[in-house]
This record gives sequence, structure tokens and C-alpha cells, in this order.
Amino acid sequence: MVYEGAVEQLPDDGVLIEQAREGDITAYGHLVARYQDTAFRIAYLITRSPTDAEDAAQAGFLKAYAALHRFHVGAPFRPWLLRIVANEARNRSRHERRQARLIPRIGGSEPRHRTERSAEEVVLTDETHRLLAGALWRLRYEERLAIFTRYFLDLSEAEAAVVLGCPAGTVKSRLSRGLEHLRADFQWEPDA
Amino acid sequence: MPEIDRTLRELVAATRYPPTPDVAAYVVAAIPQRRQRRLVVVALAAMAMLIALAIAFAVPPARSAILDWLGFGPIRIEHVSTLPPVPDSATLALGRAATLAEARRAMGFPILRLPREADGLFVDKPDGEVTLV
Repeated sequence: MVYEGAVEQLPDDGVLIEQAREGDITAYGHLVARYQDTAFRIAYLITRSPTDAEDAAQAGFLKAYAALHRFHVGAPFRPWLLRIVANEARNRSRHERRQARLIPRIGGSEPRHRTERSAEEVVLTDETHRLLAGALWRLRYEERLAIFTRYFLDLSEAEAAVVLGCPAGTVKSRLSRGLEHLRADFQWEPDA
Repeated sequence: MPEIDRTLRELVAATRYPPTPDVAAYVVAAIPQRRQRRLVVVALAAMAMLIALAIAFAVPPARSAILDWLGFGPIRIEHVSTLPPVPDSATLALGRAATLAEARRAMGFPILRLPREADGLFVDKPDGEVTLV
């Protein structure tokens, strides 16, 4: 991995983008290395397949390179890129309508404070995650993507808006609707 | 919806992703290949066009049709003793013909005398124009 390790000492996105636009492929390689984790993750969340996610991330970065001259300098690069990758991932997602198989890929692994919980609690939590992951997958794509960007990728509202291609207010409403649908589908019973 | 929010955050924390592949290495290797492929395609297309053009120019009717279409049709130069009559194309709508005195009476502004006699004088009263030709 040529690009690993030196990413943090590199110039900021704007400088690398300028260099990449002038044909410096190495500069673009550094940009890819900087965002490949997030790009791969969003693609994986959408496709649920490591192979499809890898394809989507690669194709997304290549498309972004080809479209780099259209990128507005000064705008944040990450959400612009993630939008391209997310679109690629959606196109590649062959399992869009299939029942949730996020588990054990998303969820189903060890909960954060496992040592602090009893075995029974752990089992319940894993089951809860399984059900929630299933409900998450039944959401409309736009609502699911709003949850992926805000919860799973921890993007800001403004960044999520760029990824979703809608105003920030719409992200908020999609997120709210998504959570509401999730709660209804999940049939959440509050701890009494 | 604090419960769903909390459980969702737990799910996020519990989510394990597969290791990220080395996308950067792939992309950096793929960009020059793509460029090269694009150049080859452009070169092949240009070559095909040139061959097609050469074939077309080898056939006289096709050649004249192409040259005509491009605006390079054959031009014939002929020497004649008298020029052919040129038909009137359109009226210039300069108004009615008048003498200098009539024009001065009709218009409310002074009309200067020309250093030499004009071939014609026209008055366009609605527009307040006097034209000397």
C-alpha cells in the first residue's frame, strides 16, 4: 500500500485536487487513500457485499477523477465523492429488495459494553440488533441512506445533504421519517 | 424516539466492516490505462474517418457532393462584353422623392446644401428623415 501512512502529513483536499486536475495522479491517489475507508463503508452499507462495495468504490473514485474539473473548488470534497460512490453502489446493489441479511455483517457482533452485561442481556441485544438491522433494510432507500450517513458514517447534516442530493431540511425530515418507520416496523417496546 | 436512537447507536457501534481494500492503488493504476484506452479509441476513430474520407474522395460524384456540402463547390469564371442585368431586389423605403425646396418646406428643420448635386432626395415625413443619395 503505497499511500498508507503518509496521508495525515499531506496537503489539504483543495491543494491535492488542484494538483490532480493538473494531471498529478499521485495527488489523486493520496485523496483516494484519505477517503477510501468511508467510501468503501458507504458502498458496503448499501450493497451489503464486500465485492460490490469494492467495485463501487473503485468505479466511484474513477468517475470522480473524470469529473474533477466540474468540482467546485472550496466545496467539501468528501460528500461530493461519497455521493458518486453511493450512486455507484446503488446501481450495483443486486439485493435491494431482498430481506435483510445485514446480520451478521451489520450488527450481530459483540456489543460495546459486553463485559458489563449479563449473558442474557447480550443475547437480547444481539437479537435486538438483528431485528433492527432487518427493519433498517426494509426502509425506503432515501430514508436508509439518511440513517447511514448520519448514524453509521457520522456525517454532518450539511454533508449528508450533499450525499443525498437534497437540502439539509429534507435530510432532517427523511431521517425523522426513517426513525419513525424503523420504530413502527421494529415494534419498539420501551423499557418499562 | 430516544429508545430507537440508542439501539441504533448500539447497532452502529457493533457493526464490523470488512477490511477496506486498497482502492487507491487500483485507481492510480487504472487512470493511465483509461487515458491510454481513450487515446487509442480517439486515434482509431480519427483513422477510420480519414480512411472513409479518402475513399469518398476517390469517387468523383461523392467528392463533388462533399465539396458542395462544405461550400467549396466548383466556381466558373467567364469573361463577357456586357454585364447581365441586375434585377431590382427590394425598395429601400426612403420615403417619397422630392426637390430640396420641397423637402425644406415639408420638414421643420434646415437642410444644408450639399457641395454637389445629389442624385436623388427622399422625404420620409412620419419618421422625420431626409435622405440624399
